[in-house]
Amino acid sequence: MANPHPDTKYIEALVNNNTELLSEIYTRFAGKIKLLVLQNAGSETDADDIMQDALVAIYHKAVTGNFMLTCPFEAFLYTICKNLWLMQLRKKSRQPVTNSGDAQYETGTDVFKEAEAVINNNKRRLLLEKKFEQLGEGCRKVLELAWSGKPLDEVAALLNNTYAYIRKKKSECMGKLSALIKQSPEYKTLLW
Amino acid sequence: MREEQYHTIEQYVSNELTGDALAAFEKELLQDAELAEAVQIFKVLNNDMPGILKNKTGGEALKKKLQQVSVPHFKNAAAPVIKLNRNKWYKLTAVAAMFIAIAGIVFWQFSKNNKADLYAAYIGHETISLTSRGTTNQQDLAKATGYYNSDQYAAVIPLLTQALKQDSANAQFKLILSRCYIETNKYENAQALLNAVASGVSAYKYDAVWLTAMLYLKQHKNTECVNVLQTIPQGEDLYVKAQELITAINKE
Repeated sequence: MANPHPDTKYIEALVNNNTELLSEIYTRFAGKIKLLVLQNAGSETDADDIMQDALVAIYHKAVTGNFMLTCPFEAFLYTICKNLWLMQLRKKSRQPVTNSGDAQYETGTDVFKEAEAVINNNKRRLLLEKKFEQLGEGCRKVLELAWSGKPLDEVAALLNNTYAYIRKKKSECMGKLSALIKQSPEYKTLLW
Repeated sequence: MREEQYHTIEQYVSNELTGDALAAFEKELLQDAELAEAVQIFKVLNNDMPGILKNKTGGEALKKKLQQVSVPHFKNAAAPVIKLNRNKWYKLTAVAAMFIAIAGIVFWQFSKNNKADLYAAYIGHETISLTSRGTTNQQDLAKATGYYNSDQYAAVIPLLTQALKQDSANAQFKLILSRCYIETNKYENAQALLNAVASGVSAYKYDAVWLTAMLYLKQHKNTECVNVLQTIPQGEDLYVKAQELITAINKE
């Protein structure tokens, strides 16, 4: 079984909002991300946004507890940024990334797999968040409480309702949410 | 799919189906691709959503921190939104103090104008950048950014209202739109948006509380303004500024 890479400190910095190490991430890696975006039809603001999106995506994968960095953080971050920028270019119908800069990294299977897991997790999270916000307030409240770990009888008491009603309501609301997700164009592009 | 089916799916993914009911459902599952798909989505929802909801605030707090940390590394990096330039306030305070000491203006004459000055001194205006984020119409966001940065608040309102329809959870849009409503004296509209952000768990919660205080300050509702400022807890970035403003209001 693979061991965590020493660069795991950067993952922990994202999870713990460690200013010093977050600054180090930018000092060490922002230059290459900037170059990638500038050489491929983007601006410095685009590069800033892409790097931020990538770091937030890594954070959300890391906090699931189902993630271990086994490759250098630089190559990992670069691969995620490249993929995110490629997706943006496709959306904007600009030319694809031609100068990928991959040659500077040994983008082995680990890097590719770990980056892909982060990207899929991020796309799925964004879709789930967006569709959850589209539910009515009543459904959001029931699901938020149910998913906070509270037992359903406690949720029912908090909402001044019966256990049976809240159970039914929860499954109805999950049904509505899954219908919204299935209707979205992103649904078929994601791993479920 | 019918509501009863959702109920059975929820029972199945929660391991609450047993015996014949379980066997019948599993048989149906093998024959019905749509049902199998719905089961998989329910599993993902139950597995992912608790973490997504729990970590949303952490993600927003990280985003805010990254916006600050990234500034020296990118040209045109977006400055943190709706943040008061403290130096500006200190300078204004110093100028006001000197002015009072030298001119010795009678308090009642100064009082009325000073209320407006307090709002101007505390509201602040930093440039924002709304482009390149999310799935909203980027051209509209670019226009809204331009209007906002040139103080054309009324022109921002229709653009950001539309953007919010596409990204209804975007707390940053809500804050900027509410600021525009305050500047155009549409206080009720601003209040509704600010309440939504301030009552949640967003990383922008206390920015919304601060703007609510500004909303009252602009209307010279000092008591309400102080009451709101007092809800900003010690340890929050805006706590010191809130205490300064409370002191300034109490001196009036």
